[in-house]
Amino acid sequence: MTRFILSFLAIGLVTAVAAEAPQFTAPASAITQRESEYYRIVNFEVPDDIVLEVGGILAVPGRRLLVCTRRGEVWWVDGAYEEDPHPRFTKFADGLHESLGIAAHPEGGYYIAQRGEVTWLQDTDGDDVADKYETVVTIPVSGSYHEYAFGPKFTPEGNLWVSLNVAFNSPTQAPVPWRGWMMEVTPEGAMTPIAAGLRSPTSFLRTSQGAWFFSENQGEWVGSGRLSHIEKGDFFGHQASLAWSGLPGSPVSLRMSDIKDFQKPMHEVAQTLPGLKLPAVWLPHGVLGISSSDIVEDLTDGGFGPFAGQLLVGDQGQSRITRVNLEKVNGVWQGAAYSFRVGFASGIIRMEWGEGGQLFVGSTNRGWGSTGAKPYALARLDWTKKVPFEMKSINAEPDGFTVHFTQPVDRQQAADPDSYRVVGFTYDYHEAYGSPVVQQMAAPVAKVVVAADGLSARLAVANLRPHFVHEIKASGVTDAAGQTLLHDTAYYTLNEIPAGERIVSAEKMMHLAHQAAAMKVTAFESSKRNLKQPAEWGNDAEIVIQLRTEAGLKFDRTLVKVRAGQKLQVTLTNPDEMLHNWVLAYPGKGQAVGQLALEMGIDGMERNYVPDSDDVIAHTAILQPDTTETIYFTAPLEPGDYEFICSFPGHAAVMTGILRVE
Amino acid sequence: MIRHPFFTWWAAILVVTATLAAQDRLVPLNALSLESTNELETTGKNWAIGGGVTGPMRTTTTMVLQPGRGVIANTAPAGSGANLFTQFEHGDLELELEFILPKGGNSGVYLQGRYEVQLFDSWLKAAPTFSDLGGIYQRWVPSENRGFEGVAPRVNAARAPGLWQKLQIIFQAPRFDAQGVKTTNARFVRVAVNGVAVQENVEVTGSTRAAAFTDEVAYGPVMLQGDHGPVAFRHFRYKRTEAGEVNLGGTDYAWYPGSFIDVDDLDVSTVEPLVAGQSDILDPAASGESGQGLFLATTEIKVPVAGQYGLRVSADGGPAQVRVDGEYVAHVWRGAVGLVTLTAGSHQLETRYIRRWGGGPPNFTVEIEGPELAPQRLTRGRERAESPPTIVLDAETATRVQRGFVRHAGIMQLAAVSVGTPVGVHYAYDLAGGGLLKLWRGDFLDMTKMWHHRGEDQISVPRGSAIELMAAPMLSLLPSETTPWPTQADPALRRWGYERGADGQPEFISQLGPMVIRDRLIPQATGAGFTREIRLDGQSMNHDPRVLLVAASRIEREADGLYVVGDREFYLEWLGATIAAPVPVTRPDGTLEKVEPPPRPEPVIRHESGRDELIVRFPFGLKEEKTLRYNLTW
Repeated sequence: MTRFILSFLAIGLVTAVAAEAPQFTAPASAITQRESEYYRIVNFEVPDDIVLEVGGILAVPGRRLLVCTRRGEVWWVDGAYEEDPHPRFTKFADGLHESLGIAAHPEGGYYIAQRGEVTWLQDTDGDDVADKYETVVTIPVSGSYHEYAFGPKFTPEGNLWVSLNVAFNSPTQAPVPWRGWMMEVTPEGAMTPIAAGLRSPTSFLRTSQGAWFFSENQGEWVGSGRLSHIEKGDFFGHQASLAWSGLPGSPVSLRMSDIKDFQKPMHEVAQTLPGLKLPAVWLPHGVLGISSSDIVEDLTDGGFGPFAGQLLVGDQGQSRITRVNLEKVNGVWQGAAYSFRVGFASGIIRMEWGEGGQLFVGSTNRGWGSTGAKPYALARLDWTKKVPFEMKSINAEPDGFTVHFTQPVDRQQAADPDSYRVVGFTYDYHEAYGSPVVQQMAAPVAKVVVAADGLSARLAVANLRPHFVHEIKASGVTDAAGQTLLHDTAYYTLNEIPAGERIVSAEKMMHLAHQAAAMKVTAFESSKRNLKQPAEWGNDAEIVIQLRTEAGLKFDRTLVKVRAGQKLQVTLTNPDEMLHNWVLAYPGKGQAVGQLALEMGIDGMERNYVPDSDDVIAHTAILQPDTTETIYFTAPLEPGDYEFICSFPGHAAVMTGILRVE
Repeated sequence: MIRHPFFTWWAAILVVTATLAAQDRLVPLNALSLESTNELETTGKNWAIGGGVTGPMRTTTTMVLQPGRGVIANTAPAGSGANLFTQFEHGDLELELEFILPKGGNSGVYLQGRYEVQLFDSWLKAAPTFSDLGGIYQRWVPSENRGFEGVAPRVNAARAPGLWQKLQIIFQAPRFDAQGVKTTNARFVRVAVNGVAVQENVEVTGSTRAAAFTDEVAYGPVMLQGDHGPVAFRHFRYKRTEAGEVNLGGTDYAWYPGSFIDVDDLDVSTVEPLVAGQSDILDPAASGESGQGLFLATTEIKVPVAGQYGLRVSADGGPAQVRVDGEYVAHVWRGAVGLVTLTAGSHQLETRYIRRWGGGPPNFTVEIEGPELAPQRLTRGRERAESPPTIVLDAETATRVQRGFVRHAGIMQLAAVSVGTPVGVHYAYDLAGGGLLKLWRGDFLDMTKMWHHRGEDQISVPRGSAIELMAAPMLSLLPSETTPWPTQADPALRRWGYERGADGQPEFISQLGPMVIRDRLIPQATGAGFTREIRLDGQSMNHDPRVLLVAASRIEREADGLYVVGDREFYLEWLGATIAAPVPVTRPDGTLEKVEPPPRPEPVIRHESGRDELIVRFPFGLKEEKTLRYNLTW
C-alpha cells in the first residue's frame, strides 16, 4: 500500500511542477502522454515480498492470470481485469530453474519451459497448488547463464516448440547440442530440431495464417533486432548452432565452415549461401527497440483498436511495444514496423491477451537495464476506444508503397510528395556485435495518389532496393482536423517487389534513382565533439575525467565536479554490450536532448544520436561495445548542475549524471 | 620506484577471510606431524598416537585407538588426563585441525595456550552457548566465582558424536609495545566449524578460565585440552603468518587488439602493441582499452621468503594465464591454481589475458599465497561498483524444492535440485541418476549467484555445513558382482520429475523399462538426519535390480545395521527391505495357491573400483513392489 501511495504522490508532484513551469515537463513523457489518450497503461501493485521478474503470462479462463518468473515461481493473479485493479497473488508453484514461458496442457495443468527441461505442472489434489512437477523432456545445458529456454508454443498437431538461447562466456556459444536451435517436442518427450542459427529467440508464435515467426536480439551475427519467418531447415545467421547441424535428425545442411565473417549486407550473402534465411521485418536497432521480446497477434477483431490481424512486439531494453503489419509477396513474408507504445515501467518480456481485448504486459530488466527503470512490473494495456491517427498498414507496390491510414487524411497535404521522405538502408552480416546502418540512400517520392475515401495514399518511390529496409516518414500528412500522425515513421523491409501496374513510368523512376544515387552523402561533423586537444590551450587539460558505462544503463560516476572555465578532457569507455555515448547538456535540459535524440530515427546513428540543439554543449560519438573515445572542451563559465546523458534512444531516462560546475 | 604497502592489517584480514571462506587454499599449510609425539609436549601419559579411533562413540564415551599413525588421542576419562602442547610457539596463526568427540565429549583448543575455542558434543542442541562447540569460552573471576566474556557460536554446526569434524581458526596475537605493555588485544578473526563461520572478529581481553597461563605474551604454544575426557585430533595444519607480504615492482603492459580465443593465439614477438606502458600496479584496465584483444603484463614480484607459492588466476570475458620466470603456473581453463617454488627476492610474473566477451570492465585477478604469508591479491584497479546483496532462500516455515546448478566434486551438477526442510536438515540431489550430492544442516540456500543481476554463475550454494557425498546413480542392473558401478545413469532411464506430498517433501520418480523407481527423503523430527525410502515397482528389464545405498572411500559396519560412512563422515542405519506379498496363484480347481515371498535382502559392502559400496540386491523377475529404508544421520 505504501508503494501505491508514494507513486500517487509522485504523480501529483510531477503534475504540480508541470503546471507551475511547463517548460520543465519531461519531454520524454510527451509522446507517452499522447499515446495514453488511445492506449492506457494500468500498472499493477505487486506485494513487496514477491519478486515478479516475469518470464511468462497465461490468461486462464475465469479472468485469471498465471505468471511465471525468473525465480522459478508461478503465481495466480486474480483481479487483473478490474477497472481499478488491486490484484491478489497466490502461489501455484515454485522452485523451478528460471521459468520463461507457460502454456495450458490440454489434459489439465500447465507446461512450463525452465532452464533444463520442459515440465508439466499439475495440481492433483485440487488445492490450486501444483504438486506434480513432471518432466516432459530434458534440454541440454552446459551451465552458461545465457542458455535460456523459451516457449513452449503448440503446433497444430499438439507438439511443442521450444527455442534455445546460445551460451555466453564459454569457448563456443553452442557448447552442447541444440543451443541456438528451435526444437519440437512431442507430449511423450521426443525432441527433434527444426531450425538453426538463432541467437536469443525470446519469443515465437504461429500466426492465424499458419506461419511461424520468431523475434531476435541484436548481437554477434545479428545486425539488428528482427522478426523472421521460420520453417523447418532454416538457418538464421548465428554460426555457433551449426556445430550440431551434422547430428542425426538435423534438417539443416549448412555447416560451421560455410559461415565466414562476411561483413556484407545479409541479403548479399544470402544470394550465394542457400539456406540462409533473411528476416521478414527488421526492427531498426535503437529506433524500434534494442532487445525484441514477445510477439502477439491482435486477434481481437477490433476489440483492441484498428490494428486487427497485426503483430505487436515487445522490447526489453526500451520498455516499448512495436507494431508490425505483415504481407506475403511472391511467397515471401515482409512488412512494416511502427512505434506503438512506450513508457512501460520495466523491460517487457511477455504479453498476453485478456478475455476482452486487454493486453497484459509482464516486464523485468534483471541485470540488463531498461528505459523503464523498475526491476519488474506487471501491467495491463487498455484501448481507450479512441482511434489514433496512424499509418495503419503499408503494402508494397511495383513502384512504391500504399500507406493505409486509420482516419481520412487531408487530401491536399497527403497528395504532396514533400509530405513524405523515404530512405533505404540495411545491416551487415558479421561476427561482431550488431551492425551500423549501411548503404543508406534516399528513395525520392515521385508522385502520390490519394484514394477517394482519403484512407490510403499510393506512393511512387524511386530507388527502391529489394531486401532493404525503407524508412517511410510521413511527417507532413495530417487528418482533416490538421492533426499530425501519432507516429509518423514506418520501416518497411522490402524483401520482394510485387509485379503489377505502376503509377509512374519506369524511365522517370530510373532518372530519379540516378539522381538519388548521385547525391553525395556528406560525412556529418559536429563542432561539439573535439577529438583533438585545442591548439589554443597551449598546455594540457586541467582536469582529466574518466567515465565508464556499466551494465544496466549506468555511468560509473553520476557526479563529476569541475570549476568554471576549466579545460576538460573527458574519456568515455564503453565495456557494456550495448551502444552508448556521453552528451553534456545545459542544466535541466538532459531529458529534452534525450527526447530529440529519440526522434532522429535512422539518421540518429550517423549523427551519434546527438540532435542539432543549442542545449548540447559537448558529446562523444556513439561507442560500440568495448571502445573508447576522448573529447576536449572548456567547462561552462556559469556555475550549475549540467546534465550528462547517454542519448542513445531509450537510455536518457535512466543513464544520466551531473557535471557540477563550481 | 617508491613502493607502498598495499594492505593495512584489516585489509589483509579481509582477503584471508574471503579465501578461507572459499575453502580453497593455494598452498598447503604446514603439517604438524602426528607420526609421533616429537612435535608435542605433554605432562601426562593419557595421549597416544594411533591410526584412527573406533568404538560405539555415537551412544557412549568409549573411544578405541587403533594401531597406526597420524592421530593423537586422549582416551582417559574426564578428570584424569593432562593437556597437550605444541612445541612450536606462535603469534598470528592460521590453524586447521580435525577432531572427534564421543557422546558427551568435551575438550578445547587454546591459542597460545591461553585463548580457548570450545570443543563439545553439542549435536542437535538448539540454542548453543559459549560452552558449546565453536564457542569462545568464558574468562573467570576466581574471587567472585563467576565467569565473564565468552561468546556463543553464531550457529550450531556440530555433527554427531563419533564423526570427524573440522575446526578452522584465524587468530591474531596480542600486540605489545617496546616496554611490553599490551597495545592490542588478541582476536579471533574467524572461527569455522565444519566450514561454517561461527565466530568473526571476537576480541579476547585475556586468558580463558582453564588456560595453562594467565599472563599474555607475543608467542605461545597451541594447547589441546585432555583433562575433560576422550578426544582425538588429526590433520593438524597451521601457518604462522608473520612474514609480511609479496611486494610488487613495476608492471610493463601491452594491449594487442584482435579476436583471440586463447592466450597463445597471438605471437606477440611479431606484432607491435596498440598501447604499451608501465604502471605501479597490476591493473587489468591499465591500457584503457576494453575491446577484444590480448592484454600482456609483466610484473616484478618480490617474495619475502623462499618456498612453495601458489597462484590462482580468474578472469571475466575470456581466459587468462600466469607464468613465473617463464614457467607456466596456471590458466583459467586448464587449472586455475598452480604451484611454483620461488627463492626469496625478485621474480617475473607474466599475465596474459584474452578479452573476448563484453559486459563489464576488463577484469582478471591474480592471487598468491606463500609460506608464512596470508593469501594476497596481486591485481588492483577497479573493484566492482557494488557488492551484490545476498539473496537467500530459507526453509524455516515450509519445505523448499529448488532447481539450480550445484557445484559438486569440482564440477557443476546441471540436473540438481536442493531440498530444504523446516527441521533444519537439507540435501542436494541429482535428478539425472538419483544420486545424493550433499547433506547439510543449518541455513538452506544462497541464491545470489542465480538471482542477482543476470545470475552469471547460476549456482545455488548451501548455507550450512555440507557433507559432500560420492554421487553415483542410485539404481543399476549389473550383469555380475564384479561389474563396476556405472558413473552415469542408465541411458534408458526416463526421468519423470517429482511429486510433492502433503508435507511438501518431494518424491522423485523415474523409470527403467517397466520398473518405476520412487525415492524420497523424510527429515527426522529430531534434526538428526533423513530417512530415505526407495521403492521399485515392476519387473526389471534383464538383470537383478541393485540399489546403491551409499558409496564412499570406506564403509564400516559398526554394529548391527549401523554403518559408518567415509572417513567417519556420517552414519547409515539400515532399517530393512520389504517385498510386497505376491498375488496368490489360482489352481485349476479354483483354490488359491499361496506363493511364499522371497527372503528380504540385506545390504552388502562391496569393495570395487577403489571404494566401498553398500548395495542391496533384489532378485530378478519380481513384479511386486520392493521397498527399502535407511537413515542418514550426521
